[in-house]
Amino acid sequence: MENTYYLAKWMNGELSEKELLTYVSAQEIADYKRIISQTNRYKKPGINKEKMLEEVLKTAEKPALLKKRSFAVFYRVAALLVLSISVYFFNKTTEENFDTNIGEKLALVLPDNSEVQLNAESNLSYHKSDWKNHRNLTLEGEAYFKVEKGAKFSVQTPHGTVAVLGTQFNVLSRKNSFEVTCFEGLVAVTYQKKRYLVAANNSLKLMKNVPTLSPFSSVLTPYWTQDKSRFKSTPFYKVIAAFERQYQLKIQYPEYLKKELYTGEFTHNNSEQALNSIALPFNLTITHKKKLVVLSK
Amino acid sequence: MNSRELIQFCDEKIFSSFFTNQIDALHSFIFYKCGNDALARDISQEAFVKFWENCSKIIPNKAKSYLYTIANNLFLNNYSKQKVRLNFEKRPQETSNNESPEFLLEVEEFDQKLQRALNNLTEAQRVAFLLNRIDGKTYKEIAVFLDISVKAVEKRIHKALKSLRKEIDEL
Repeated sequence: MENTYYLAKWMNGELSEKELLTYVSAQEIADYKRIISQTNRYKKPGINKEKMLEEVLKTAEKPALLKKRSFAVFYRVAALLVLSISVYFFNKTTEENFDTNIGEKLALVLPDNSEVQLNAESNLSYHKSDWKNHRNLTLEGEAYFKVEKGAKFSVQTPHGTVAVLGTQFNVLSRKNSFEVTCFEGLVAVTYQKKRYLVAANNSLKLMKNVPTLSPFSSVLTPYWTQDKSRFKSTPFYKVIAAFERQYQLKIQYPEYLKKELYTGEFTHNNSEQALNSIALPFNLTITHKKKLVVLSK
Repeated sequence: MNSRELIQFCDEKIFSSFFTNQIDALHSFIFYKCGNDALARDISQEAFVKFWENCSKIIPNKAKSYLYTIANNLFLNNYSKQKVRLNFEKRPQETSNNESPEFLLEVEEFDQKLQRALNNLTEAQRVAFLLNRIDGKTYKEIAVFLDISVKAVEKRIHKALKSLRKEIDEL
């Protein structure tokens, strides 16, 4: 039927009372009218904005950035002393360091205007003073890079080195996964002293410790930069690890599921929806125990 | 986007105006979800505390969804199992006040039934219905707000009306 949600349409003035009569009786309409007019009298409790804002600013610890700055002043003084002594021995460089926690993402711009997006539970660092000569970063975790054209740009990871000239690519380097995805241009990956070239729309993935190249259907940026995680035949424990990086929740699940393969995606913006996306395919029931979520048959 | 913009939420003025713009909608949203005013205030306040503490890590066009994610997680982690107990203040009725006591009693009774029926709606239906009725948001605005389609909003509101009538009938 055309107006399946006739009540909503009618309340919104899109359907006349006469038309509504073809769906429900006059008595029902009277009931609905009464419900609506009574609800219209309700108002929600007001809040004292100024007081609450004051409270928020008072309760919160000083933002991390401000803290970092005051530390920086302290270090600058200390560094000056150390530098004056050690300047003969080596050229100390200032290191910029970025960390993300569970459920956090961070976007930053490098001194040459290259852009980086950092996924949850990742660490990225580079030497600022040395940047002009060497575009060199260290990464643990996952990040998406949009590199400005220029000198060689390289990313060091515990698994290997990824080097490019100017392109867009994603690097994932975590405990037991290493994956480099190229979205534009050409990327060179050095893994165990061997060089692999990854062209646009291809990804290099470690399968049982063997680097394997495979094409992927074109997306513009990695899924996680669009606030979702997507998997294709991925072991369940890796999916859970990815979930726990996005939400402040720990998940318990039956041991036999560990190596089961999961294909699907979950959002980073709604933990309940995300849990359902993971649990439903395996027909699991979700139970909340404070910060612990138990999945069971 | 440059690095200046990235830390804009650490500016107390910018944070304060973001707070002032968002607090009402956030409070409504949580209030309709859990039906408890004190709790909704606590969660909203706590969410802003976390937001402020992490200001340097916030991507400007994700600020709002970041805020709601924090609030939603706080709600899910701590309170989602509590019973919903809505309690609304009422605007004075417009009709004259020389009605019979029986009539007033009947109105009072109906009011209690309605509030109980509202508590028994599903969370999704209650949020959509009350955002429309009490906050005066249009279906389109609710759809954008909840990140669902207008059709889905209509479905929730339609079902909300249906089950309200049924509940009141049975009480």
